[in-house]
Amino acid sequence: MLRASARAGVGAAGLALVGCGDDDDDDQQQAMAQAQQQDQDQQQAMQDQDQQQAMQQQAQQQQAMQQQDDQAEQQAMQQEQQEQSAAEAQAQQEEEQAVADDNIDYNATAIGAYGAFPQILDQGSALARGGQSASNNYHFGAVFPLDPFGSAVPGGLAEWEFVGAEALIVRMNEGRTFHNGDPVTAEDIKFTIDRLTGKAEYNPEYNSAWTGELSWTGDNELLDENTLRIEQGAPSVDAANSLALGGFPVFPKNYLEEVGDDGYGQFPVATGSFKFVEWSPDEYIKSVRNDDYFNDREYAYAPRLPYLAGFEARLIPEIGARVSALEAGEVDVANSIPPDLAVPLGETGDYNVFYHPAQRGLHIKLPMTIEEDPYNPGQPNPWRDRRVRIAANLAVDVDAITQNIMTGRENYTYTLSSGQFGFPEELPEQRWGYDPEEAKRLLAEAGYEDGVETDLIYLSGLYTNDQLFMEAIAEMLREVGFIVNLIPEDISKFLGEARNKELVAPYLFPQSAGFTSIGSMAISVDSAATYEHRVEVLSDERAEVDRLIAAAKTEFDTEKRRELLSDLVRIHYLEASWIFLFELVQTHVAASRLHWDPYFLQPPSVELWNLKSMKT
Amino acid sequence: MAAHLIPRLLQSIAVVFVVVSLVFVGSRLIGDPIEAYAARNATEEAIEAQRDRLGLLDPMIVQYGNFLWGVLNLDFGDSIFSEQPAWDEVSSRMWATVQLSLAAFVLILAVGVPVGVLAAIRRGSIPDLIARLFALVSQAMPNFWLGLVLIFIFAVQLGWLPTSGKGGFENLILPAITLAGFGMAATMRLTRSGMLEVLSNDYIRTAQAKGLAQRTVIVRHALRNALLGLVTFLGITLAQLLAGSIIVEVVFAWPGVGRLIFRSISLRDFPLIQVGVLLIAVWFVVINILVDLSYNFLDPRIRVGSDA
Repeated sequence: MLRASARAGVGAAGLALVGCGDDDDDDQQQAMAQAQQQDQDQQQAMQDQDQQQAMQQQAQQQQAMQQQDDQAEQQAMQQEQQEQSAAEAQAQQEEEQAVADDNIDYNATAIGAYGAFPQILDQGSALARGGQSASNNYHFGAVFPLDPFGSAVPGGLAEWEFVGAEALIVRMNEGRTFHNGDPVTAEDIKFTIDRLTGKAEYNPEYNSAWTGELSWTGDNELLDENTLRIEQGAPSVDAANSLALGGFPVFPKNYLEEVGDDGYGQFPVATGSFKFVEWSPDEYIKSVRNDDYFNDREYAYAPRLPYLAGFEARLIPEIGARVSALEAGEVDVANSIPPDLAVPLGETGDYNVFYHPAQRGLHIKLPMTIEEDPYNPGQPNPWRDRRVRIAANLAVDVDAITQNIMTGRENYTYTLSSGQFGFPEELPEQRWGYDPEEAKRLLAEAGYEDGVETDLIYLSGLYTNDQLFMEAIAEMLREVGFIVNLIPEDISKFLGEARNKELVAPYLFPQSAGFTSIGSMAISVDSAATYEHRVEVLSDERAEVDRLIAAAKTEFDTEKRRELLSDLVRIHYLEASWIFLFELVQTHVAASRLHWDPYFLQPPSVELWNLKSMKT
Repeated sequence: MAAHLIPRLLQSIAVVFVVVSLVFVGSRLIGDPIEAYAARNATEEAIEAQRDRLGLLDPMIVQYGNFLWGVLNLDFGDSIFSEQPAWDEVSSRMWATVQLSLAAFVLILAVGVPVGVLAAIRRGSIPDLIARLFALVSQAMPNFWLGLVLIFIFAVQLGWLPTSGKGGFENLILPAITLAGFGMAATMRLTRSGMLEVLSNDYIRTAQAKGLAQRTVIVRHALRNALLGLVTFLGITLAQLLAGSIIVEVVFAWPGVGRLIFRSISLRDFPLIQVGVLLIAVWFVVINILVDLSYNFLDPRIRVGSDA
């Protein structure tokens, strides 16, 4: 009951008002007591309800005030962190920049080779999502800009203001235009949210890719031509962040209604830093710099006015052919090149190799919510025993895998991403190391001297060298006593089985941390998440993880939210809830004239707006 | 002639119908396209709504009936993923594949046949040895590997040709050579063996004894007879070039229909799979009919037989 009310965003506010919000156990007891009393006395319950509603209103007012303070505090903290992290490199950068800026070729165009193209160019559609969206997401600009940590900041197309946990007010900034010159209005933002949540009148069946990110939205209302009020149907601290995500598309209502979904998918008009020019499906996508882009190059946040005058994305699916095209000088950037090809190119001195974390903490999900052992019916599921899960973590030498099979730049993962908000800094001190002897001892202590039989499923061909590192993991697990049957699966088959909760074995999963750590944790860590094993029974610790996620979603106090997420990551890791592997790194190779100093601490892809072509 | 052609046409229509029906069933056996189509966090209700919109909730027989009616009306529906008419999607890429296939076919004819003839008439000589070695290597080499090697030599090292993409004539050369590799070798070997067989016949000796020029003996008497067996092979090769260019299209980023079908299969985009396979089936059937007809011109005995 408490979880339900917390999800609805009223429990926390109501309890906070009566002074019980600091202690979760007290909250729970009070809520249960209220429920019992309601059962005994209906009239009293109605009075309680009225009282609670009044309390909620007061709480929301209080929260709104607190929210403003929190926002200011958060921004101040982020600003401070940003300044600290930038200070060390600032002097050197300024000197280099002074020289480098003179050498930037602002008339240069660049050609980038990609391994996949979207089927259509509408970033709002589920058909355009996935890795291939990198080849045209720069046409789109979100409502709010982002700081280097990946958090939304007011500015860009609009400013925002929370009305407690009730609503988000969006106020448009002047002078913002779409690529076709039309002004961006509050009505366009309303249309965008309606379209992405299946409420747009022209096509309620639109196959949106953003329903999950916008699940917090309720009704929305134009207060005036520049102001939109978006009700928080399911209050979330990620509300503003979700409108700032990379690739979030703001649609021009008039244009889209004129050309329809089909027309828009072929010729997108948006607010991004690059303007779409033309494309030939399966061949190229041509774009030019949006010279009317409202955030100039001195703007504090991102994205900004690009340095490149134009960009052409070219589809070259075969990796070897992509590298050849780079070597032949036909393209300037070859995206997603495996390290074994990229590193030697970088060593020649003729190319720059760009590395960036893929923000995906690779891990193996363990079926710890299933009661029986699927391979020995009637027996308890060994993965419910913490000792078995720890043994599995101790068995895998992650560092050896990253050094010998991957690039060597991958970080060990403790959760989705060590850069995510609320990551407990002291957690690395408690890392499960590589200790096969201790793993054997734990298995024996848990009563599995004869081994633990299990399948191990992974998505074949999705990531560089995935077959190699999964073979290595399987072998390491076998070394300590797990009887592993490694099963590669096709992605669509896997996704279907996972979605239908048909998988009972451990499986490799690559959930993206994205920019909204709470949302990503909810998608990946919550026991009810779409791609989790089915839930038959929860341990106390697992239930606590679910509770912390629900609480963090509606905790507007920045520090409290940070603590909740820290607790969540800590418990989840120390319970050995997954076999923790590593954070993937993506590798791209560029001609030496192209320079990229990442703005984001964890960029999701090469920042095209931030790519500089130097004069040669 | 008509008596020969009409049954062949009726037979061909039946073949196309069977192929199309098999494709309809087969494409539905490989899985549910909605699993790949729906957003990762889509609700069950949203997924069911998409299935309903695409007609996937109808009984299979109803879907089949709708599909056949669409084929008869040349309406193949929209691609599930691009939401564009499936016919437009395929036909817009068809010319690129036809271009590539025809270029490869010309290479096969221009290289395979003359080299085969040369190897036969100079049997055991150094040119024969080189030709046989070339054939062996070409047939043993996977075409994706050949493609990458050609790119490395002619585009990266020498800089003579572009690595990939569809631009001018120069973009066509490397993919056409890659696609033609196996066919050239096979054609050369077939031509050589066919010519060797024909050259050992009495009528060739008679022609030579009559004092006819060697060129006349080779071209008019030997090659024409050797071609009869080769025509069937070349017909199948031409059909296969169109259907089998997928790997070459991927390596050279050639925007053809092969790559589209390959991707459609992995995405379970039924309408695109159906149009693509239907086109390939029709292509095979047409080529077969043309091969049959060519026999009438190449071999008078067949022409006389069919007229009788």
